[in-house]
Formats: sequence, structure tokens, C-alpha cells
Amino acid sequence: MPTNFLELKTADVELLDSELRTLCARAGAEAVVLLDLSGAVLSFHRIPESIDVLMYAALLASNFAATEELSKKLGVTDFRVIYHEGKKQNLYFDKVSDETVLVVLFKDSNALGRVRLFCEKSIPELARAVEGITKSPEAAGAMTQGRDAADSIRQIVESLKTPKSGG
Amino acid sequence: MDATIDIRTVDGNVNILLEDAQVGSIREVLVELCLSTMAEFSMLIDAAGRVVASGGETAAFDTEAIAALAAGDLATTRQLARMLGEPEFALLFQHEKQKNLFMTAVDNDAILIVVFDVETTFGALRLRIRRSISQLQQILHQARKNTVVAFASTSDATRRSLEEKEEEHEGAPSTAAVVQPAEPGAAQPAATGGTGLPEQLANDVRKAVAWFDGFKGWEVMFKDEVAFMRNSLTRNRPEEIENVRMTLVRTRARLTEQKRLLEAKFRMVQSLYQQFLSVLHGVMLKAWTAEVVDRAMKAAFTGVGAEFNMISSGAQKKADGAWTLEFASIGKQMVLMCHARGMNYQDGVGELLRQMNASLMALSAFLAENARLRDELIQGWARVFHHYAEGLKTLDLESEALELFRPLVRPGQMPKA
Repeated sequence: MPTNFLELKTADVELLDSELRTLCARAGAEAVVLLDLSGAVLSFHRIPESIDVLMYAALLASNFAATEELSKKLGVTDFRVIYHEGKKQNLYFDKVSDETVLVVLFKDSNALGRVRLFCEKSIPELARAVEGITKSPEAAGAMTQGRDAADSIRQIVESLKTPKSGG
Repeated sequence: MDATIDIRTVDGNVNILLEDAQVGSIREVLVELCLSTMAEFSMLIDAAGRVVASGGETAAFDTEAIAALAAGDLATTRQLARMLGEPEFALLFQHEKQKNLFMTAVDNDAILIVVFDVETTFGALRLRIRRSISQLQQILHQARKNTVVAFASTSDATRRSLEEKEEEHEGAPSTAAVVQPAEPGAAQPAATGGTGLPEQLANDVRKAVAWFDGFKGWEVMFKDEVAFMRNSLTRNRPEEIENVRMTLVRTRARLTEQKRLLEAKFRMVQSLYQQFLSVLHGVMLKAWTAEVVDRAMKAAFTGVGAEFNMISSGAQKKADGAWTLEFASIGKQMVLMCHARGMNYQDGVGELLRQMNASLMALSAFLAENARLRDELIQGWARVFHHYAEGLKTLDLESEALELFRPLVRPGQMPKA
């Protein structure tokens, strides 16, 4: 569950970028994107200009979330991988950490096994990099702020009592 | 025609009527698929998220929830495929030690789901599934043909009542003007009589204006363009012809683009909604007695939105006591509300989110004494919402609607997973 703040510094961005570049070359992928589960893009490589990266990432994240919920209904406790098979292109999702997912777009001529192999090799590196980002002291400090859930419920109930005009 | 089950499109319109015998054949195909691949179970569902038929061992699973979630999931998958220029994606998720799921569209509105575990090899399943898909397609193709014939031979009275029902759903009294093609004989004299526009253009403009009259929501979004086109019909200014033509073309193009964007948004909200229900169900099942659950669910689904309660329009209690919710009815209710209030669809989506939140509040009030379940409910909703917040923002969802949820999803407030 995405409860942490992700704070990217230049060094983090470079590290993630280089990891993705390497993965893309080794796996023979068309494009790779690393995103967090709320749909924010952490890093991407070779996404075609015709695709709006933000919208693409938002859809990928929501797709992953929906499938994860589905897997829970089937009793899967440790959900990680989704594979979408198209006519010419395929998508491979692999969970990097609790909050981040790696998504690889690859052509039909490429083998799923190859993509999978190199993803599995890259994921520990990416996970380490992402973990370094989420555990930065600033992020940990920000985590402790905020009030408890009961307060927020009261707030929302109040706001609902005064309906806004125009529905 | 003796139809027992229908297959619906994502917005709830009946697309295919299935006879008992056809449902039986579908079930046979599904059972055979399970037996030959050792799969745990397989289901055919429609795009509205309802189970059409199932085969194999389904007793241990909540098939209705799975169907609803799967339909939402496939909707976002389709949007992804469209973005990447693919006709369709088949989805597979894998967990070597537990369950695997394979999901693919059989037809525009029918989806096949197969759940299997380690005993099934995916290669064998893939080979076998092709045959099953083509068998299912044949059955559906035949059923679709029968449906067309059945609708065509429906007596006039029934057809009239069906049309009335449709109008009721559309909610715009003037939609009839849009459905009926412009009568050339009657329209032409008026077209040349005083508009100053060429006949064809005047007809196109008149049709466009009539269309906008029927869809108030879109009229709100294209206010200036519609006003300009409307005026051009009475102003009689030949020098404006080119301007009118350009406005018409541009409005048409922008409308197409907006519709596409709306569809993406709608799909995301559909998926969000179905996950929301799954959270509600999961938590409420653990809450005290059936009677409390019943009262709480009733409060949640009837207590919000006095006039157009989208959430309650999709809520139904089944004979076995479980609550089911249909997205299709919500969609229809949303369209109805947008038309009646002259809102655009964006506001409709915002209102839907607001109602979902109000439902959540009503439920959590019932759970006030049980802090653990209340936290679980809020945490579940926050998780679902968090997944979508950024996505909805990307799609320019009304910021006010998003702000309503903000207090629930602030990281510091979330109970630890």
C-alpha cells in the first residue's frame, strides 16, 4: 500500500534511468516504465512520443490495482506478475516493491522468457534503489504528520452537510 | 423467444439474448475446458460484469464479485490496448504457487475467465482455449442472429413499450428529435427559407443543434459553438457560411475527442467503483449480525443523493441475502442526472465519487463501535482511491470531487497495512 512519500533526487533519477536503460537493452524491450501504484511515473525509457506517458502510467497503475483486487478474491496473497498478450505487442508487469511496479512493453518477436529473466535480474537492483528513496529522512518525517482517521471522517461528514451548488 | 439470460454491453444495454439451450451449450464448453485442462473453474461474463455461465468448482469463490472486478479490469486493459494501437489484449496473471488467471474477450461484450493452479500447464491451456473460444463465438453469433430476429418480430405494442423504456433511460425528452432522421421534404423549404446557408449545411447544422438539444450535458460543454450554430440558422448572413462550416467541423472533431476522453475516465471510474464495492462487501461481511449488515447497507445506499441516487440505483438485495451492485444501472442513472440537471458528464463522475464517499461515511457510522472494522473500511477505500487519485487527476477530473477524499488518503492518517 502506498503510504510512503517518494522523493526523487538527481542521483536517484540517474540510477533508475540507467537501470531501465540496461534492462531495456538486455531484454530487447520496446519501452519500460517504472511507476508507483498511484500512477506517478518514477522513470521511463523509450516510450514512443505518440503516447502520453502520464495517461499511460495512470492506466497501467489502475489496471494493476484492479487485477490485484481480483487476485485477492481468488485467494492469492502475494500477487506480483501480470502479462497482457496482444497481437503485435505485449505488456509485462512485475511488482518491484510494495509501492512500485515495473512495466515492460515488448514486441511479439521477442520471447516472454527473456523479458521475464532480465526483469527478475533487474528487480532486486530497482527495489534497492526505490527503497533508498522511500526511506529518506524527510519522507519519514512527513509520514508522522497528520491527524487520526476519526477526525477526517468528522470533517467529511461536515462537508457533506453543506451541499455544494450545482450538484 | 424463450430467453432466460442476456449479455449486456458496458453501459447496460441488452445485446444478446440467450435461450436456455444456448446457456446449456456454453456451460458444456466451459465444463469441458475445465476437465481437459484441469483448470479450477471457468466463467463467461458480460461487459456489465454479470456471470452468464460457469463451469468447474466455483463453490469456494465469490464468482459475482470476481465477474464484476474482471469486467472493470478488462475495461482498463482495453483502454491500454487502444493507446498502444492493439486490437485487444488477453490478460494473464500468474502466481506460481497459488492461482493463475486467464482472461480474454470472446466477443465485444463477452469475456472468458479461466482460473487454474499448478496442475495446469499454461501451454496446454492456451492450445485448448482457442477451441473453446471459437465454440463460444459460434454460440454467441447464433444467439445474436436470433436476438435480431426476435427484436424485429416483436409486436408493435411491445416495441413501443421498449422504446418508451429507452426514452425513460435516456432521460431527455427531446432525444426523439435526434433519433428521427430529418424529414427532407419538410426541412428543405425551411432550410433555404431565410437561413442564407446552403441546403446541405443548413441541414447538418440543424441536425447538430437538435443533437445538442437532446444531450444537455454536451451542450453545456459546447455552449458557444451551439449558440453560434443556432443563431446562424436565423441570421441569414451569407458571408458567414465558411465560418459556420468550420465551426461545425471543428465541433464535431472536438466532440469525438471529448467522448474518447470521457470513455477513458468512465472506464477508470467503473473499475474504481467495482473495487469500492468489493471493499464494502468484504468489511461488512465481518460485521456483527446479518440484520446489522442489512441496515447498514440500506443506510449507505439510500441515504445519499435525494433526487438521483446513483449508488442505490445499482444496489439490489438477492434472495440469499447478499447485496449485489450493478455498474450499468449507475451509468444510466448518471446519464439521466446529467440530462435533467444540464450538467456535463464530468460533474456526473464527480457526483458519483461524492456519493460513494457518502455511502462510506454512512457505513462507517454503523461501524463506529468497532474501530478495527471501521479502520479496515477506511483503509480499503483509501487504498482503492489512492490507486486512482493520480489517474483521475491526469484525466482532469473535477478537482472539487477529489478534494472531498483528500482527508482520507493523507499518508500520515492511514492505518498501517
